[in-house]
Amino acid sequence: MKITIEILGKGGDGTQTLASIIGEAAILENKNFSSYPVYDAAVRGGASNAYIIVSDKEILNTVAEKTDITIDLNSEDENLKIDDEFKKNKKLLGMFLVGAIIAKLLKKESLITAIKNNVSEEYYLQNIKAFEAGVAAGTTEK
Amino acid sequence: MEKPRINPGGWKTVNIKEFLEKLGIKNIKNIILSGNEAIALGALAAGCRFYAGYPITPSSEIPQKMAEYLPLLNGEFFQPEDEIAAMGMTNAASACGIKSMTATSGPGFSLKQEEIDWTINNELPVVIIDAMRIGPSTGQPTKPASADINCIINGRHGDGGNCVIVLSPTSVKECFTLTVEAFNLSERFRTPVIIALDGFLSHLSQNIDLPEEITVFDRIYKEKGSPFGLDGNIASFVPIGHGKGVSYGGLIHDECGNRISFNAEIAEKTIEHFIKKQKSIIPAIIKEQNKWYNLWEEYETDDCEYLIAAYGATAKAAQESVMNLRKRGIKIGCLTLKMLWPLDDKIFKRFRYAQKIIVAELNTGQLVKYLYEYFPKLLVASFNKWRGEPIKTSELENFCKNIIQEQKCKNLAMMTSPSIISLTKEISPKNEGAETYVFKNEILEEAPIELKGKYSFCPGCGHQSFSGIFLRAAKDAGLTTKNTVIIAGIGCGGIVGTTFRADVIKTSHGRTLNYARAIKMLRPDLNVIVISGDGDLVNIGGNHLLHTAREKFPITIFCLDNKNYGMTGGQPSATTPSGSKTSIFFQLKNLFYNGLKIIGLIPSHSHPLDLKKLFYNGLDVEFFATTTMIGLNEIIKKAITKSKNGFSFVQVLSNCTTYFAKKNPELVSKEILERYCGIWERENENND
Repeated sequence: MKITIEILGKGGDGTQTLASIIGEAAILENKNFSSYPVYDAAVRGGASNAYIIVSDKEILNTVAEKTDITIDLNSEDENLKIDDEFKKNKKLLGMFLVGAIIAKLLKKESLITAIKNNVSEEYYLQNIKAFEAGVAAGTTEK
Repeated sequence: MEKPRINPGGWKTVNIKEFLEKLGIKNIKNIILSGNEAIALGALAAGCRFYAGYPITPSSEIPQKMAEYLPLLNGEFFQPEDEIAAMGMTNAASACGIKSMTATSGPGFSLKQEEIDWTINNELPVVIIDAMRIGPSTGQPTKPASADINCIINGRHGDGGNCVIVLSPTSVKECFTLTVEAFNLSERFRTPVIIALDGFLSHLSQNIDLPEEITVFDRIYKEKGSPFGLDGNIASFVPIGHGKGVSYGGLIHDECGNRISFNAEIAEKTIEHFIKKQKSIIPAIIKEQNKWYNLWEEYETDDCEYLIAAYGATAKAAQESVMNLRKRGIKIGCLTLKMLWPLDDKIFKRFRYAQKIIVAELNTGQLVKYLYEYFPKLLVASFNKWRGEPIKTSELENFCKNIIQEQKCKNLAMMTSPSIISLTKEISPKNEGAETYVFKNEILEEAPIELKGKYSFCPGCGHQSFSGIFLRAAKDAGLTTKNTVIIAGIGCGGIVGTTFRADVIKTSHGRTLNYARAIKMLRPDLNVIVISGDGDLVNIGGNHLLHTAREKFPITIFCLDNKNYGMTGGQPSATTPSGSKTSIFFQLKNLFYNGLKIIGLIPSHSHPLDLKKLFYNGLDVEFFATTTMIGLNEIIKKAITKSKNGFSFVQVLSNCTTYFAKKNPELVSKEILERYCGIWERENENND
């Protein structure tokens, strides 16, 4: 298995945190992982994307060729029913989409552990709620 | 930090697990690191205990990690005012015997070049990281490239300026391993090692296993021998601050460290030393092969008809292309260059039979030009990309396919052998017309500082008087050969310190305070005395001066203020009084200010800096004095005592009898000069 994931967002949306979460979850399942950001010079509001590879084998070239999965925080996924409370907050939208898309690829438990390690305690519950809602929406995808 | 113990040097092993536990890192297997983080950990594991750096994308996580971890290891971290200061401090720490590193990106690297040349001339081991990004100037700051290869290898002035080692990691894991190797190489060969880091790797995160154990080389320290190499040999190291009277500087010097500015043979010998040293590095590594990491990795090369040569992150695309092309039955191999400079025919000669050499680079083709020396140009195809994006395997693979299809060149029967410079001429060392001080590598008896050589200043020069008065006052103030380091700059004022028998660092122009600060940080037990002129300290070194005063560093500065640039012919400096005559004739010019036409002088020379107001009133320094030679003795003693508590600055009004004083006798009369004199100190505000 070698899967390339693309996360598209803007500076401040939490795209790089999502990459860290996917990475940590991947190594919990003894998979290899690589990720690199592609971002603009602005701290807030500029493009901030991440290209992730998760693989069972050693990853030689970490440069993404074609993407298998896209998590796009810039536009709405019409196949998913997303609650308004998650749509308003890009960080929560990210968690929702990780639940809906990545939880099919990596174990839910690994992702929850990774979220715990990457999100401050204050926002943990909020994030897990979004993640769980995403998992539920993912299984009932249109 | 306590006085560093001098160890005899050589190889030792470091257990990584035990070492990282000191930093609070428990796991060494399957951990996620970015290239920048791996570099910081590699540096610390290799023994780096000093880091000075200025923040710049994409290298910024390196200083962040160094600032976090160095205090845990009793090391020092400093973020100075600019890139030049960072490089100077890194040099100074190395002169103290401490492994040091700095990191930057292209724009910062350009600024550091002057100081790196100084490092090469003094054969100091330091490691410099250049995380490369695309474009000239600011370019696209977040977009990766390998675009600084030319400037890293050959960007410094003067022959011998390319006596450096350049490494290029290909993965996050190698960011760790090659940083360790960078320190080992710099310590082993006493030369700066620059890591040409693909900007892509800076921010690439990967899960990696760190090695259980690494081997680390510490620079060789012997009780006997000269401090600098000769004839390509690596000398044993002599640190600053151990009372040995060693002198480091930017001028051409003999093996004893004597400054030689007027001797053709020594000039020739020194340049040849650097070239021979550079040429000896690869043969030495090959000889000690079991000690070194594989710096020229070959992949599927045994029967290859085609070869891809690559470095940096591109090497992984090359390996993957080889893997894919082999499946199609194409006999292709890959040579990964992890050391980009120096190069040697020993690495390339076995590939000279290849049908085609494809050189893949993330730039417009920089290293390939150096490879033409080893391969006939017709056999080389260059794959390049300059879009601020890393190279995809498919891109390189397709290029290779096309090249192989188009390959119509026959293997040239006549191979031109590469032109390797051979230096066989024997030179008998002569030291005529030079300083006569013979460096004995003995700890000097703890004694007052004395003159070691003579220098003829112009008749009546104030600097000559200062020198005598300073040595007497320094003796009274308790300065000895063991507890003092003298930092000298460039220009007439910079000469004074280099005539003393003491540990002396003569820096590049304007950079004295960077070396002074680093030494004070690492060796607070030492008296750090800066002696230089107004042009050196206030003009070109103005930024460093301002910030050293702001930081209230406990050092003493003697600014021999002769109101002009004496050594270069009397040009005006920042302290030249308004309206005075200098060697630059000002034309009255029409200036426009706020829309009004006014007539005046060129503004940069018409408003001298009032140092007392700037430092004492503006920056709250501990001690400030302006003085002529009268009363200087007492002021020197006081300044040295006061510098124990903070920044101490003495403006010594010293007459330039050849230029300024001669042209402006009315401005240097006793009465006029005394108007400026005074002592301003924090506890005693009466004089203010």
